Amino acid sequence: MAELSPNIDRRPAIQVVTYRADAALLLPVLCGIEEEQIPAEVGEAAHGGAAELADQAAHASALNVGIAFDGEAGEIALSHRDLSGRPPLFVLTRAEFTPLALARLGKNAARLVKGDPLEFADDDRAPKAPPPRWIGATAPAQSDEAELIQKLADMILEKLAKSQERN
Amino acid sequence: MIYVAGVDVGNNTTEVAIAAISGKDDVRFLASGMVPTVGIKGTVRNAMGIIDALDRALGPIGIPRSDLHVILLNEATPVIGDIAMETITETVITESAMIGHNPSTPGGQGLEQGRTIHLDALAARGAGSETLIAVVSGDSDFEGAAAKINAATARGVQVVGAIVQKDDGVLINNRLTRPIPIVDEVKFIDRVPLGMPAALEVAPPGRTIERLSNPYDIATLFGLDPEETKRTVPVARALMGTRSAVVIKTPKGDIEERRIPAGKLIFLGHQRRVEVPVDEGADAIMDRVAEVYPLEEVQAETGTNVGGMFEQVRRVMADLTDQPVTAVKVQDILAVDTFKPQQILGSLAGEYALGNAVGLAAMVSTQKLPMLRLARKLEEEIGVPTIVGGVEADMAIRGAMTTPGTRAPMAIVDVGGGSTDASVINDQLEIKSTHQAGAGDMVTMLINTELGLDDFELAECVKKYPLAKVESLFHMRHENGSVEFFQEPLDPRLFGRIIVLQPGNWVPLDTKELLGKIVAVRQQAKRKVFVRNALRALKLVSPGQNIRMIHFVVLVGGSGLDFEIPKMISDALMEYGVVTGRANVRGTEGPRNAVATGLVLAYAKHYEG
Repeated sequence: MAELSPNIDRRPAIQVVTYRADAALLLPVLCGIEEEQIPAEVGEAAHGGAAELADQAAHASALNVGIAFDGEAGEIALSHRDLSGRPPLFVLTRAEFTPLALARLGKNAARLVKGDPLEFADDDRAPKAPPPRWIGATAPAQSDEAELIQKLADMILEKLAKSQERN
Repeated sequence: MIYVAGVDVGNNTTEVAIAAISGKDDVRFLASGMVPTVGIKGTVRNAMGIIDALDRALGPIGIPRSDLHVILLNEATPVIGDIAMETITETVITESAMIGHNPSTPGGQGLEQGRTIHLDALAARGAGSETLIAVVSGDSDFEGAAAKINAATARGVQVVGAIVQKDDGVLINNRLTRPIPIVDEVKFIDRVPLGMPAALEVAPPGRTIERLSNPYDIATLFGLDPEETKRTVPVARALMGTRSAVVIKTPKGDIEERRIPAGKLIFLGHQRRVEVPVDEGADAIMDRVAEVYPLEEVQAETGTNVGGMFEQVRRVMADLTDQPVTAVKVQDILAVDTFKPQQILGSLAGEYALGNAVGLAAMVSTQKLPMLRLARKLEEEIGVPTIVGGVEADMAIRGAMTTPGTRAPMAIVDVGGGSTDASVINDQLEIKSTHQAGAGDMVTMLINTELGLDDFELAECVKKYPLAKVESLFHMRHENGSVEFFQEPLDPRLFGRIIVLQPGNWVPLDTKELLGKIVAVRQQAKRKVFVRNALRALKLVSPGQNIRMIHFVVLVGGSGLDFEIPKMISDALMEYGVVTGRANVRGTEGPRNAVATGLVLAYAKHYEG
């Protein structure tokens, strides 16, 4: 574990520790970090235990963020030095090893460093689509009057719904 | 000795005060209660809320409902408010496409110009001098995309920029032999027109784009004539302040900014009739209102948005009071200027531009709200005699005068949900009152639209509570700059976000706005409505319309509890040399319970034992 001991000469980077890890699964994690433009360093551990290793990696990282990938147990953990002695912030188990989830874990590690909001699986809501009539050539011809009538109708319906709610 | 209950049904809360009366003016208050109002103020549904509030007050002191001698019900102010928003400008950009947004991590930087081409079509291109901008859809991974661009570059194809659907601009750029600016996170990439001339700009970190937000630079890049340049102004304006942008020129580009006919308002005073188009803005409208005051009726041009809004107000009010629609008169309006984020037609990443809008609050005055019906219903339900008594404003000022340190002459300002009320009591104990359109609900509407929240409850939350930014897993910085540390880690969903400090349930805001901006929007909304209305209302009731003639102003009602409104109103009134503060009814209740307390006191005045 000597390579994980805190070292003031170490360049600022997220510490990524692996134990018998599949490189193909590690790649999306590293790409997630790279897209957020934060450096990462990968090291090898002598034994497994993702949670504990992530904690140690966080302590070793000059950026206070560590990731541990225990390939044998099929677990990836993300921790922050401030969480010392507590469970890691995020843990992924083998069933959750999708490229998206792995990249998200990497991104979140970097965002933790930057202080940016984290990403969660459930906030990939469908984006609000703009009205489909945006291209003039394909837009249905709509007169101002028709638009106004539509608007009024919408407004009245909305108000009616509201007043019914109140009653 | 008898037990009495004073009950005040407000727009938002129902408050009760329980007291024991032993003789004329011999009152001992025993308990208070407050619950949210059930149903619209003045309808029989209110009875449920009243019974609940009574039980909550009576329970702890062990008095059964049947021991009450009488229930005193406020004669509700016969006003009801409604609010609406009128958009007066709209930016329409058709047959021309633009992207302007702030992906957290675009790739590369600089300004490049070229023709759009699908990534997969690059392979078919031979070496040439024409510059190209690759369009990379979500089904390509970053390694494949980088490899294809590299291969093209190696063959002598000039790929100078890329537009990417997924968030991997940096990853692609890092794998290119020749780095190029890349705009990523473009949701609607399938709508990017191919084979069209385009310009793409990515600003360095911490900066915003400079060229594509300038109409003359766009003209230079695309060789536009003065007429065409004029039409790019909305595009340039929408791109201002973004980190990355793409402008694509399509043939027959048609960009226009048009004004929507928002309709006219017609003010009828005693003698005068004045018309004002809504799109002249709030100040023009309010100036006209002041000109014709006191208003007898406000009409709106039929067949327009504002006409529709007024119809609706009248209909609700008519239903409520069993009056014909024609008998309902709009007696005050408050207009404020605001902004409404509007989806831009032709935007490819879900951007919006701010359109001008006017927010309107209207107030309707009727003969009398059916409080008597409510009183009968209450008697039926619980078998205690119920009296409707006392004008609300008179009762409120009586209750407010139990605040230690006050005396007549003084004024109260009651900022509620639907209307802002002011009353003055003079040395002779004569009371004068007024009701103004526009209050808490309108502030909520302004916050909701200006921040584009699209969620009335969330906007209500933003209005009520201060904000903080969660800076680490263990600490947050409050909006006033102070830092709070926590022993246990905070929810990671709050990390890095601006949160609303709603007690017991902190709410993260899904926004890229800076904390300062949100605070500014909230405070502006409150100033535009509360401060403006407090001054307007006080002016109307002060002797000689001069606020300086009032020495004490006491704030009552729920908004007196707001964390910043009392200070704002106090600041504004400072100029007039007025002592302003929040009421402390009976020395214990704060700004709450003024009307309920006043009802009990008024009853005790005439009680002979």
